[in-house]
Amino acid sequence: MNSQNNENLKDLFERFVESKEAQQAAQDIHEAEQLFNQYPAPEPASSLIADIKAEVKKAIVRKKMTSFRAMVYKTAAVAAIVIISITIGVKLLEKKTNIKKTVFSPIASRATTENNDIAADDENLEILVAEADQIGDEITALQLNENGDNEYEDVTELEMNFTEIKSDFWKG
Amino acid sequence: MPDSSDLTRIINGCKNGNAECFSQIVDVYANRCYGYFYRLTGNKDVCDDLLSELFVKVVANISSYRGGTFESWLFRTASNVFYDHLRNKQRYKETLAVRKQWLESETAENKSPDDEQIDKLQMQLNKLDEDTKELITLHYYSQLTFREMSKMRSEPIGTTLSKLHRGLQKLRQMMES
Repeated sequence: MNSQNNENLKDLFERFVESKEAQQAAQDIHEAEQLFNQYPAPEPASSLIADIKAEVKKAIVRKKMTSFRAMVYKTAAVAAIVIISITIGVKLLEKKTNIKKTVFSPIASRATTENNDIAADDENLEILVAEADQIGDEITALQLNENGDNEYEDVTELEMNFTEIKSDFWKG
Repeated sequence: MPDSSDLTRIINGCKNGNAECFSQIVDVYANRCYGYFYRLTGNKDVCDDLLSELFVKVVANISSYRGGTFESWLFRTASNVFYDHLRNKQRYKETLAVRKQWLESETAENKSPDDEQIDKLQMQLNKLDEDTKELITLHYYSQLTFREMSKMRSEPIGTTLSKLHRGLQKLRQMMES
């Protein structure tokens, strides 16, 4: 085996040392290299070469599998990103195009308003209901003209009742 | 040894995952790489492992080869495999000691002259420092130019030349003594 690879060693050495020294150095290297030709290294066994070729084939399969898996993972990742982006985009679009609607909600909870036990909720509310009933009766009486010609007094009394209820209501 | 166009075709085949092309690469370079590992380790069993590891790495990293001489890339990989082996397993001293012991016992026996000569070169190589031994074996087995070697070793070409010259001189002296 010639390790010089057709290089001109003398020329190479001349770049660093005198011509005479360069000649000697090149010759030294050539002579020393002969030692390797004289004492060749052992060669690999044919069984080893066969084993290596089998190992190489396995390595190729492994590499292809790894490449395939990497491609699948990449595709999945890209698909996930696209799906998430589309979903977010659609949601944003929906938000923008949505007409704002006023939503009314009860001040009191549904449980409170749906409770039939008024007395249990509030005693004042019971009084209020009673007064409302009374006013209702008076209005009915007025409509039927049960109190004769004294309509003016009746209306005044009704107004007073209303005023009283109003002040009671805000007092709580 | 294939010519450059054949080698390009084979390497392209390897890059495409062609098992036959990898087999060709093994056929072409196995002997030289084995010699390189053998001269560095002096142990056939370790050599076998390193050679297998090298070609598995070639399969894994062939896409990283982008032009230049293939030998340069291959022996850089081989050098990395060898140094990884030294670092990871920390067996270097142990290997040398075992090898030295084995060589001493072998030379004591009556062996054929050829075997004795091979062992003698290995014994003298083992006496050199690691860097010089690696440089000499790389120079001989890789067939790289000095420019390529100096680039691979990240040192000026003059340094590579003088190191190799001194190393080979020393080796010759030891062989003659």
